[in-house]
Formats: sequence, C-alpha cells, structure tokens
Amino acid sequence: MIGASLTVRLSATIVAIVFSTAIVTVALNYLKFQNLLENYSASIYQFVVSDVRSTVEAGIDLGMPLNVLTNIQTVIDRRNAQDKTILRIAVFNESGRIIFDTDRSRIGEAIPPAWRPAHAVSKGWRFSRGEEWIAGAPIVNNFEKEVGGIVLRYDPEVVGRKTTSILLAMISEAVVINGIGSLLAILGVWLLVRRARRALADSVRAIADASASGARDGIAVDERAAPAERADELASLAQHVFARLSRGERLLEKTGLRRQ
Amino acid sequence: MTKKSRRGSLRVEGKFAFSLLALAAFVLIANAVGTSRLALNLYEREIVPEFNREAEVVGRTVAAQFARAIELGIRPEDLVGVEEFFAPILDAQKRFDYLLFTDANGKVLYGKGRNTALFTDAVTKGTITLAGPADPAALARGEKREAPRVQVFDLGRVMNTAVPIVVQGNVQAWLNVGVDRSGIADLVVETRWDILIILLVSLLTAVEVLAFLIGRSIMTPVRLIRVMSAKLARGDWSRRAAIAMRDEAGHHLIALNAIVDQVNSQWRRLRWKADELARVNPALTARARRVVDAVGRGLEFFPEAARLERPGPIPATARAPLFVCVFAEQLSTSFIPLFAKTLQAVDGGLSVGVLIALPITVFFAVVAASVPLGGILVNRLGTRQVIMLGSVPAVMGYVMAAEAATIPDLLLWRCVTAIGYAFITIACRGYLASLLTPDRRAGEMSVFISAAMAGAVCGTAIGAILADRIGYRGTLLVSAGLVVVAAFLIWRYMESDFAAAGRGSGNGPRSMPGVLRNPRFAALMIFGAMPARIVLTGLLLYIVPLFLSELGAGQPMIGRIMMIYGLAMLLAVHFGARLSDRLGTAASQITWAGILTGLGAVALGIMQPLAAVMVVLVIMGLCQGIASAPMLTLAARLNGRQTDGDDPATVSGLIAQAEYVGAALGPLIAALLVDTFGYVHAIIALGGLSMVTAVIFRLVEALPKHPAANLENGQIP
Repeated sequence: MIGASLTVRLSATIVAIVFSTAIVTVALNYLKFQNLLENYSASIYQFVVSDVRSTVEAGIDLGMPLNVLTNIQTVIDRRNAQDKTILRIAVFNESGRIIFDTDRSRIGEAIPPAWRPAHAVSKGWRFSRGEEWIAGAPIVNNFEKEVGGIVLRYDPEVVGRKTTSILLAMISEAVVINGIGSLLAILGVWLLVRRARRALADSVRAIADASASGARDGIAVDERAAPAERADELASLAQHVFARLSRGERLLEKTGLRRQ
Repeated sequence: MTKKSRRGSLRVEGKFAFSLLALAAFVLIANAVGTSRLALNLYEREIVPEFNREAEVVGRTVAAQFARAIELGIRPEDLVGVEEFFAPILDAQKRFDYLLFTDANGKVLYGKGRNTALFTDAVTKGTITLAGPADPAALARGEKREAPRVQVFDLGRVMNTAVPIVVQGNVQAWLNVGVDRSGIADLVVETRWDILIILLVSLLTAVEVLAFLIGRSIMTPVRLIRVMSAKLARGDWSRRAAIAMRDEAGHHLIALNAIVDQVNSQWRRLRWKADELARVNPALTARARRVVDAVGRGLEFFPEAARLERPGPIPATARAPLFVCVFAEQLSTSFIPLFAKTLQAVDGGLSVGVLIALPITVFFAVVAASVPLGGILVNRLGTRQVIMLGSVPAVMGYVMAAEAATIPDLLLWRCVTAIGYAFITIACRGYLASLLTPDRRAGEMSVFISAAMAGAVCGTAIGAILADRIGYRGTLLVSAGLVVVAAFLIWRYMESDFAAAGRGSGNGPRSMPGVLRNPRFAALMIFGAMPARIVLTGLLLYIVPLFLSELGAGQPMIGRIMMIYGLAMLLAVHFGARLSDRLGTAASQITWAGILTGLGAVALGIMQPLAAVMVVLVIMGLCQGIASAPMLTLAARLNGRQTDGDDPATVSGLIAQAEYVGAALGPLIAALLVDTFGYVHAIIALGGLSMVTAVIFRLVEALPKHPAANLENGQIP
C-alpha cells in the first residue's frame, strides 16, 4: 500500500514530467551547441591546415622533395605562435615519419596511426578522441600522388570551456524556470484537489461518526429517523443497519428477560 | 448507478483530468518559452563570436599573403587574380558571404561573393570607418599611434570582420570577411523547432502519464467506492474493499471497511446472542431464529471471512506500457533505411534500395508471424507474463542492433526485436480490446489507437533529434531503455489476477480460415487493412526518409516531416471513431480513406517535392485516422456474425496480423517501385494502389448479401 496523498502524488508526477522535459531539453540543446562549436573550431583549424598545405604543395610543385623544404619549419612555427589554442603542427612524409614539427623533439618519430585516416581523404580529415583533437590534410604532388601529410593538434578546452559555460547557463536558467513552474503546479494541484479532498474527508468523518455512534449507543438510534439525520448517504445507510441490528439485539434481550 | 449519473461523474473526472493536464501544459509551455529565449541568447553570446573568430582566423591567413605581396613592392591596386584567389576560400567556408579587399580607407578594390553592396552602403553611410595609414605629420609631432587591429561591424544580415593588412607598421589595405548571419537565424529556428518538438512530446507524454495516474489513483478508487456504495445500498455487507493506496480515496475505503467490519461484528454478536438464548432456553430457539431472520432479511454479511472487492482492470494499465513500447520502436523510424545504408552490405544480387528496405520488411514479417504465437502465449500465461517475456527479446534486439556492423546483422537483431514487439503489442491490444463495451467499440478502440499514435508521434519526432545528437546507435540504445520502462510499468502495476483479461487475444491459426470464409471480412483484411499498411510503411518508413535525405533535409527535419502523419492521424482518429459509432458509416469511411489517400499522391505532380510530401502525409494521416477505428469495429461485427461471436480481442488480433503483413510488403514494394520509377512516381504508384484496393473493397461490400448482413454497422441487428 502506498502512503502518499493524492496532492503529493499528482504534484510529484507533474514536477517529474516538467523536470524530465527540462533535462531532455537542456541535454539536447547542449549536444547541439557542443556539436556546432566542435564543427566551427574544427573548420577553423582545417583552414589553417589547408593554408599550410598550399604553402608546402607550392614548394613541391617547384620540384623540391618534401624533406628539403626547410621553410616549412618556419611556417608551422609562425602559425603555432599566432594561435595559443594550436598545440602542435607536424608534417610527415609518405611513410608516416615526422620531418617537421613544432615540437622538435618529435622529429624523426612515426606519426601516431590514429592521427591518419585508414583511407586517403583528399579534402582533409578531423576527429576528436579523448584529449586528441586533430585536423589534418594530405600533401599531394603534381601527379596527384600523396607524398605525406600535415596534422594539427588543438586544445580541446577551446570548446570545453564554452560548452561548460553554456551547460551551466542552461541548467541554472532551467532550474529557475522549472522551480517556479513546479511551485505553481503544486499550488494548482492543491487547489484542484482541495474540493475533492474535502468531500472525501467529510464523507470519511461522517462514516466514522456513524461507526462510532453505532458502536457506542446502538440502542439509542432510531432506525426510522437515521436516514434523515445523516448527510452522508453511506453513513446514513450504516446507521440504518446499525439501528436494525440493535433493535434485533434488544428484542432478543427482552425475550430472554421475559422468560426468566 | 443510473446512466445519467455515471455520465455526470465521468464528466467531473474528465474535467478534473483536463484541469490537471492544462496545469501541466501551462508549466511545460512556460518552460519551453524560457528555454527558447535562453537558446537565442546563448547563440548570440557563444556562437556569434565563434563565427567572428572563424572570419578573423581566415582573414588573418589571407591578409598575411597580401602583406607579403605588398612587401615585395606590388601596390594594392596592381594586384592581379585576387577574385580567383578568393573563389576557393568562399567555396570552402560556406558561412562566408563575401571577401573584399579594400584600400586603407575602405574603398573596394577587389571582391567576390554575395551581399557586397551591404559593405559599400555601410562605408558610404559611415557605419564602417576604417583607419587609414598613420598621418606622418602627426607621427612627427610625437602623437601616439594606435596599433591597427581587427574590427567587427554588424551590418544586419552580415557580420563584417575587417582585418588590417599591415606592412612596416602601416595599414596598407583591409581584408573584409562577411559572415552570413542567416546561419545564426537558421540555427535559432532549428533550435526552436527542437524545443517545440520536445514540448509536443512532453505534452503527449504528460497526457499518457497523467491518464495512467488518474486511472490508477482517481478512477480506480472512485470506481471501487461506487461499487462498494452500490453493494451496501443493496444490503450487501459481505465484502471489504481491496485497498491499494493510502491516499484520500484510500482513507475513504478504509473507513468503509471499518464500518463493514463493525456491521458484521454486530451481526455476529446478534447471532451469538440468539444461539446463547436457544442454548439456555431451547424453547426460545424458533423465536430467536425468527428475530435473526427478520433482522438479516435483505441483508448479506460475511459468510466465514470477508471477500475482497477489487476495482477490476482499467485501460490505463495497458495503455501506458503500449505507449512507451510504440514510442521506443518509433524512435528509429526516421532513420532505419538511412542507418542500413551506412552498414556493410552483402552481395546477394539485390539492389541497395531493396537491401535497405529489408530491415523494415523483415521486422514486420516477423511481427506478423509472431502474433499467433503471442496470442497463444497470452491465452496460456496472461498479459503480464507475455509482456515481461516479450521485453527480453525486444531489449536484446535493440541493444544488438545498435552494435550491428552489416545489414545481415541488423536484419537478425530487428527480427529478435520484432518478436518482443509483437508479444508486447498483441498482449496490450488484447487486454484493451477485452475491456470494450459492445455499444462503443469504435470509440473505445480509438483509445488504443490514439495511445499507439501518440507513441508514434513522440518516437518519430524525438528519435530524429536524438539520432542527430547521439547517433543512430545511441538512439537504438534509448529504445532498449524505454522497453525496460514499459516492462517495469507492467511488472509494478498490472496485477496478475487481472492480467488474464487479455486472454482471448489469441487469434490463433484456427481462427483465421474461419473468418476468411466470410468474403466481406476477407475483403476488409486484403483490400482494407493490408493496403493501408503497404502505403504507410512503403511511403512513410521507406520512401520519405530516403527521399527527404536526397533532397538535402537533415535528420531532425526528416523526423519533423514524418511526425506530420502521426499528428494528422491522432487528430482524426477520435473523429473517425465517433462518426462510425453515431452514423454507422464504417465501410464508407474505409473506402473513402483509401481513395483520398490515393488522390493525395497527386500533390507530387503539382507541387514542390518537399511541400508535396508534407501534403501527402497530412492527407494519409487524416484518412487513415478516420478509417482505423471503424476498421476494427467493422471487423468485430463481421466476425461476430460469422463465427458466432469471437471475442473482440481475437478480431483485433486478426486485423493486426493483416496490417503487419501489409507493413512487411510495403517497403519491398516501395523499394522496387523506387528502383524502377524513382521516388516521385513510386509515391504516385502507391497512391494508385490505395485507390484501386479501396474501390475493390467497396465493390465486394456492394455484392448481394444476406439482408441482415449489411456492412454498414449501424444496420446490423
């Protein structure tokens, strides 16, 4: 058996619906903002990558091999210095070995396999995996042959900070709006249920009165007068039966006494 | 209780339910308005600067190349091929309206893109003032020069980001990047749509949840109070009320039980006194018995122990889980063919179009095949057990479908889901059908259809948004979670004593040949129920997502458009049911629904495809809404005549089976039509099928028949 009153149950249900809706709304909007911001950021870094790529490809078009284009190191260092959110830019050759890198200690290492897509993507690629947010593009020579690639790792916090602030703003606003809404709902339910509650409570009281008087003084109750005296139909019905039973008892008692 | 007073009390309860719903709606709408306003503010605050940042980064990169050229001694006005240089950048950055190269004072030298006039107007009007090179005289006087910096101007439809091209500390020119602000407006509109959809889903969910709660917490105890009161008024004091909740109504029942106990206790005392009197003085036995008989005349008391009076089954118990299950299944409606398209196909000689139709076809085929088994199980185990049983394959199917890597994987797990879905829906449907009253079948059956349609509307719309945010696989996992919720509702709230109410929803194989011997019933199934589903699944589940995707619509938009069908049906279903109940026009409604659905397809020939698809879906939704409840009523009446009254649950199951067969055929037929004629003509062809079958149904119905067996339900004696 559940103990909550009708008001509590109805209020709790409406509040639960309202808050569930708010949670879904906030969650879906948050995901949308996150998606948008990630796409915008990625598109910005993709542009930086494509700019570096066109510089590198311009050198290759002159017939120079990738590893002798020493100005590439200057270009990527300059781009890295221009934007604090760019963590690293690396240029790698066909076999995936890094030949220029803003983090010079990495030159000569193999590029992490996850940073390169399995299938060649001529327009470039981008992905985010945990802390690794990468934008990249292949380097293609005059003969449309892929001779290497560029990868740019950027700071995920660029998006993270914004999405967190968006989430907090949405949550605080949702709590305020839904909090006020919920209070109104509780008040509304209370007002709606009030009449029904009163009617039920009166009825319960009337039945209890009937029950009490039936138990206390059944003998005194007049069967014929009972229905008129009680407002509640059930209570009067009960009074009627109590009176009848009491009369029966009195009759039996009288019969016993007479014989004695 | 008289019919009038019952109607009066139902009105009071209905009014109460409506007031509650209005209250919930008010709070939900306020929430939606607030969230919408907040989203708009957040776009302005967070996304607009991101647009500008993109313009600034690109602008700086491009400006650096011009600066190098100027450093080499080329004057800005002598640069060549600037427009050609701008073209690929504008092509790559879709949000950019224009790129303008201006001299140091803002005079346009080169430019490419849309809305460039906005910039020139702004320069003319002085809205944009770009600082030129530093005045040598001022520098000579030692005045401090401000470092040139990027400037952003709001030009209404366009945000202009001006990046200085600085050579040796002097501004030689400006590169202006115009970012289209309509992108922001589109995003705001899109977000508002999302919020509106969530609001709609919340409202429909609120209706279902409150209907469930009102059914359980108000209707049930009030009904029990009434039943008890009626029994007491008749002098039956032999029952106590079974109390499920200790709320206000529960307290009323507790008080009733107390007084019943007290009356019975007094009755026992009276009998004891009579027995004692007879024992002490046997000569008084007859007299004592006469007194007891006189008192107990017309009254009934506890025989040995009190019997419990239960409220009986209520539709809400099955309606809510049915809503949740349909909701769960419909979450993936808007993307199943698109999801299948992303999976690895197998080389089985089938076209891609047919291959991606298979998951829908196989799903409904398995549902159709599982319905008889579901019916048999309901007969043996009861509704509650079958729903609990069905939830296992349903959950497993959704979870594993989310992990599918190939189309055969998806087919397999959709089959498993279908078994569970069939068990759950047939059990709920049978349970609800068994609660029908003979005089208002269509009206009451519309309650079932509207619960299913509300689930469909909610699922389709929100499923598309979810798929857009968390992907197809994540959305399938949400479906699994919802089935768990449905199973919980059944486990928690459907009492096993009453769970057998759905028994008889069997429609086992033995029923089928019998009813099909009735040509009118066969016509109803073959030319009424089946084509309606062929058109529905072929068009709505297969063609619409693929066609809209090909037209460039995003997933949320596909979901919104698909939702139109459910909304239209939801609006029409009660109207159709009432029309059928009052005027007895069930057969005419089915015929005209088929014909008008077919005519709706003509819209494809005269309107733009996107608008035409919407018109077709609205017409189809309204028509099928008007025909759905009458179809069940008509089937029940026809079948009742033929088989000496099979129960309504059996008939509803038979109709469901015909519908599932149609639903299985729909995507395959649609795929073949699309492969042969293309999307537009495939839709028109499906419309033609609807019209032709509706006409055949009408012709069969017009055949000479037994005088008493007129199909118009109003004329059936």
